[in-house]
Amino acid sequence: MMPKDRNALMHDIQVYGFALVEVNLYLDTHPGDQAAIACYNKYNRLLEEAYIAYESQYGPLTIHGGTDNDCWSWVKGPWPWEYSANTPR
Amino acid sequence: MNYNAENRTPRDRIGEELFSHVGPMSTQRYGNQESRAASPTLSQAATCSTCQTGTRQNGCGCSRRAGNTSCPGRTSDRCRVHGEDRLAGMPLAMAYVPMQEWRNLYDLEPGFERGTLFKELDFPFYPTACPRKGCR
Repeated sequence: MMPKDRNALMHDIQVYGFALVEVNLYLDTHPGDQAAIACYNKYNRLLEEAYIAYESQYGPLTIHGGTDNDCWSWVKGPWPWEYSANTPR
Repeated sequence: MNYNAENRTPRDRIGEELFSHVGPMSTQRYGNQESRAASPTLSQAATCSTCQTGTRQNGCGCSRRAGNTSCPGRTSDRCRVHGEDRLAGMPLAMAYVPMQEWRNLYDLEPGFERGTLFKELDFPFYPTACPRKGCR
């Protein structure tokens, strides 16, 4: 399978993150809902996989994302206001 | 506080005293004397503030029909607005929120586009009338 490109991975991260917030809000008032918990676990795993895939190829997404040993990775990616960080899928 | 053990949520912990004085909801509550007599404590204390007679529990006796001014020895049908509101004393403009259920979910991509994962919460609000030309 072709590895996903940067924008596709970023999109996945945003979609999974959004879904997780939705399930999060539902679970706040339904803490015993097994279907919702299963859904949370599923999207949480997918988000984690997408995060790992992104950061291993394109650098850290947050300051917790680690760095190369010879170069501070945080400053190598496009800044949020740069076009390449905002290219639509 | 252990939510999981008790399976309680913030919603479950809303102070029961807030609602303890409100009787069971009934479509009868604007109806006949019997249902008025069955009204809970709130209704028993107050006097009709328009005709200043009778208690809410007993009713002031005035007709609740518009145009009938036969409230015995008192004022007009205006006192119909008193004495039967079983929610009197409650804060104004409080809304209800039925418990959501886990159903009718969007798939991920459509949910992301719609801004909600729940079809039942997808309520786009569009203006239905335009007061003047040119606005959109």
